[in-house]
Amino acid sequence: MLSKDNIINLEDYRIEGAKVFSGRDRGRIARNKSNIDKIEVKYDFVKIIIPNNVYSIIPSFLEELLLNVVLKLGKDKFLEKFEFISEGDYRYEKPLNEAIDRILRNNTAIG
Amino acid sequence: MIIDIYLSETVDSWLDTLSKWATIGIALLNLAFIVYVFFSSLRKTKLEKEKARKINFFKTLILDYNLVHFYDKIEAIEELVYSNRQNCITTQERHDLIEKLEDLLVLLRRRFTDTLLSVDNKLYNEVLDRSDEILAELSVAISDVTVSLSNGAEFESKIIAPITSKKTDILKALFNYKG
Repeated sequence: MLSKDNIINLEDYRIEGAKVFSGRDRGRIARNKSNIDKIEVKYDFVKIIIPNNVYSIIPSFLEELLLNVVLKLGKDKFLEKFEFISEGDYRYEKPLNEAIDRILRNNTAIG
Repeated sequence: MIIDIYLSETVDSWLDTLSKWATIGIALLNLAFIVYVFFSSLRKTKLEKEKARKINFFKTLILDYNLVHFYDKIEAIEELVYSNRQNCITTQERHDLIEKLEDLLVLLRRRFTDTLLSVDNKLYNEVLDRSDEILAELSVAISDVTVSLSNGAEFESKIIAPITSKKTDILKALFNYKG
């Protein structure tokens, strides 16, 4: 499934041959290039595709990618609006929950 | 002659007035300076007290009480990779090992890193990023089918070295914290 309309395929933001999505900077690039914030405003439902042959998505990558939409929607509405589809064997649920928790925790903490 | 005397008296009177105003001006400047010094030292004392309070809190809450969780989780990560070095052959086994590492790093965040949020945001982010780097580097090595974890040298350089290096970075960040 290619990135189109309300579909964001992380394959487009994968370094060639990489099996791990990592780095805040890469997450930020994916957020900006995918226009996830604008897509969220435009559509009622958004799909994020995790490509095949992925072994890990590091929470800080997801934190940067999802930062604004999670802050805007909160955890429950975000999970209602965004559907994640893993095309391979990778189980994304734990890092996704970890990233959401971190975004919300960091935003409410006393610095 | 009369004009000269008159002029001389006018100049004297003018200089006298100027001197009085200058004295008042200097007195006001002195007063302003004293007020400035008073308030700036008051601010400095407050900042120093706040810094000392943060350091004490950091020492008690983090170093005395929670650092043990950091060592525990790092040790658990090392034990996990050591115990799986012979079993990590199939794709599923590699996935499973990475998932277990993800779990341990979530625990590290919950038991240790989160406590830093109450002390300093920057320090929290620094420690969080270094622990994510452990997961990233280990995941890259474990997912690479050309890396044999049962090979001692490769295991040391691709698995143990990143853990040791990031552990040192985190300890450095903690001990360099100045409030």
